[in-house]
Amino acid sequence: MLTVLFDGIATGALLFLSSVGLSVTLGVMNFVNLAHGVFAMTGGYVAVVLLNRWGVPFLATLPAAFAASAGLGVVVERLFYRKLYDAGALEQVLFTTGLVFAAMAAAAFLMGSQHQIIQLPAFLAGQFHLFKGFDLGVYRLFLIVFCGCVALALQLVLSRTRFGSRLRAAVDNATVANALGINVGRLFAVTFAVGCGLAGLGAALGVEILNLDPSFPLKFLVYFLIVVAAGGTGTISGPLLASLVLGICDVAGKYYVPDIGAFIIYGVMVAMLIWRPHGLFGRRAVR
Amino acid sequence: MIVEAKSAAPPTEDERRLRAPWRSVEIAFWVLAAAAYLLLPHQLPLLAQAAIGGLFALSVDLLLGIAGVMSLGHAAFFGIGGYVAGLLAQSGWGEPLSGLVAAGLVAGGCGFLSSFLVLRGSDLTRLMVTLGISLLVMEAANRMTWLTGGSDGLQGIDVWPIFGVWEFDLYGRTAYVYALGVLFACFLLVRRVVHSPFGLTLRGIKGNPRRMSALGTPVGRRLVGVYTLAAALAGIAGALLTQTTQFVSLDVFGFDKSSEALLAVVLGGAGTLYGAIVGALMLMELETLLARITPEYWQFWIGIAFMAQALYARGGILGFTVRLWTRLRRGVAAPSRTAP
Amino acid sequence: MTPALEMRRLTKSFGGLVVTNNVSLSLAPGERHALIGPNGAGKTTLVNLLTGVLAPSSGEILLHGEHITEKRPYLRARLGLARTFQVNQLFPLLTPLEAVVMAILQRRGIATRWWSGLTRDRAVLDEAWALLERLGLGDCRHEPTRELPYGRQRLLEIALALALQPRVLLLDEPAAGVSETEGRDLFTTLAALPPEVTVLLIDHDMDLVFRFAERITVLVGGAVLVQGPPQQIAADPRVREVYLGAESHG
Repeated sequence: MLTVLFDGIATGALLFLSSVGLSVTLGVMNFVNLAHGVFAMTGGYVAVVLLNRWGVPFLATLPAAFAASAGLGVVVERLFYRKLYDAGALEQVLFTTGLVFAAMAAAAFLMGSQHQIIQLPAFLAGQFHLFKGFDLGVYRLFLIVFCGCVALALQLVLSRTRFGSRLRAAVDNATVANALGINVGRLFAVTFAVGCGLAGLGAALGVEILNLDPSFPLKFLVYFLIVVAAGGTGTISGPLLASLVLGICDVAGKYYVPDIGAFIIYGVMVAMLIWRPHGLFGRRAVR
Repeated sequence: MIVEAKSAAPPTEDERRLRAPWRSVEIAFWVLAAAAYLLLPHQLPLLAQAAIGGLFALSVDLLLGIAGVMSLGHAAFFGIGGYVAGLLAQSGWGEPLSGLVAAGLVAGGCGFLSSFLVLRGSDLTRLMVTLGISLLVMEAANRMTWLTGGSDGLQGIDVWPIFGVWEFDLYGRTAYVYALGVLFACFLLVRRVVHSPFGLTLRGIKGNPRRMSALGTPVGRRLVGVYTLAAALAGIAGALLTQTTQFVSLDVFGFDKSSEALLAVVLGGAGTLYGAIVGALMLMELETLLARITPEYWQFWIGIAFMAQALYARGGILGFTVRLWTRLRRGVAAPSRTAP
Repeated sequence: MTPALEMRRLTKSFGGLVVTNNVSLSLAPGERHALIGPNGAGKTTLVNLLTGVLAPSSGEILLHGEHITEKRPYLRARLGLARTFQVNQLFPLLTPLEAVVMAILQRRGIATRWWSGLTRDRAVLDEAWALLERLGLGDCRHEPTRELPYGRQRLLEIALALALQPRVLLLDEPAAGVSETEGRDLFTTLAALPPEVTVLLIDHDMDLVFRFAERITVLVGGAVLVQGPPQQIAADPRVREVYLGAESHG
């Protein structure tokens, strides 16, 4: 029981990393980005290739995964997304859906369609034996601590730095922020890149837990959307809490009622969207 | 306020435009579709699939192009219709037309019930709710192995001859005539609806829901109506697929099904009805072609097609052609005036 | 006589900000009433409260003696309360003819027919045509709305409201953004409104307001400052101070 809770928190932590960036594009920029999983998947595969084929140490693959996803994010945002900000939601849906399809086929072509397996370094493998019936996987503990630190860092950046205050202003009211001389476009671009990087980091850390394979972008689309829908926009704590609840529900669902597993998740999503279309904790997007 | 009706009667031009009479291009389209039976005898199985895809895209166009409701989960109704027809035929009632009716009724009923969940909130919420519902339905079908056969699909579907006379053959002749006939019948219905007072209201809602409610229209209720109708049509399309292929599997619920229908509609030109059918045909030809060239990775190029469409070809092929046509007829001069 | 439109102690606040403050106003049937006030006085908020786009924090709204405070916007429209919008709310892809026919079908309660064509009732067509002719939109009735010049779009905005044959008509800055010539057309149209229709006109254009209205209400900071016939309003020193002075119209 405690183990399930623990595993759920670890999964939730990964979901948080992967989806927190989406709450900005979807919730704040009002851009229907269904391709967020593509950026995450990229980071995951970069980590796998570096680790398994080139023998780069695990911890060193993480920054690389971040950089690769963030880089891809910048390129795609500058080249394509920017042109679609003013287009209708329909064009955005079509474009990002196409990106998902193309990326899935490309991933299958380059990496094969099997689940990826990685060899964790010795110090992250194994288990802590805390007391009878309660074993903590070292890696999962590492994940929780790591994601906790990232969440804390994001919170600090958002609340203490100039960048953070500008972003909050832009989230509150993009028009006014623009009028105040804040370059909202660039601000969002940077945030978008960081969000993609975090997603890549999340997938790199979750190669085995989240089962990285070419269908990743589609499979986790719903999870990401749930986190955004439930967590709302403009805060760190909203998506964090939503991710943790989702992670625990997911693990517990698969563990206790494997027969209806995914059913619960989709049901929760629909219920949540109907109950609070604008997020559980978040404010309504202003634009 | 009383408007005096004694002023001169409006020119018959008004009446003609509002009545939207059949144009020769439209008649040519259907004649051509019928002629394909003789002209392309080896393509008939594929064309039957295109007609089914066209009907599904037509139902999406009614929703998206006419009423402005975006859905990422319309395949839910396609799939429900497919399974209703499949289950009926499997359990011993293989009469095709009543199977279609049953599928349409059940899918329409599901559409009616879910419309209350879907038709609230913004476009974004709608997209997510429709997607969520379709995944929910798919997962339910996947888990109810005893009913749906789970991931193996539904086996042993035996469809009787149409009107007890024409049997489904290997060359897809019956399938094509049947699918085209049903498509045409549904098209007549949709065309009728679009050019009715109700259809005009829907176009108004797409254009400006806020003004519609200021004009006394209960926007939500109208959308429930069109959502139900679109779901029923999608269900009929799904039933057609089951009956012509004698098989149905979980693929019918897929996200790619929903999104490809969206693409077909946009490709052909949203809100034009014919665009949906043409778009579905083009998409099917494209997929067949790609599948022949790169059997495993054709999805990559479809993805690219999605992206190119979104970036460069707003209004679709038909929209583009119509624009070109009117421009040519009007004379290239006449620049369009736009309000500030 | 029962007032055509009555507001009783209408108040609306967003958080701590009171935008409509205890407004009571009563319009007799057929009255030509104008609502003026500087920017931010809460004029459009008041229209939104009357039409049900916003719900008041407190107070009541009565239409011909019937409580409509809780009614949804579309039901108010059906009860004969029509409005125009300060910023055009039209149907870009429909032609004026289609839009007006749509409004008329809605008023006649036959907009849910899905089995018959649009031309089944000749009377609908006749009415639409007559209305468009009367507003000078006859010659452009087949052009998509988005291609019409702005002044024509302004007129269509009014035509749509008139198609509902309203008992009470709310005009939210009908002259906003129109040229001088177009403004004259507009005034002719307004002056020719049937006498039994009650009109609440909101505008900045003092000329228009003082020529059109029988009574004027001045709204400042969400509250009624003063109310009376045009001469009295024009002479009122408080009005001069808060409004005419500030706007330099006088």
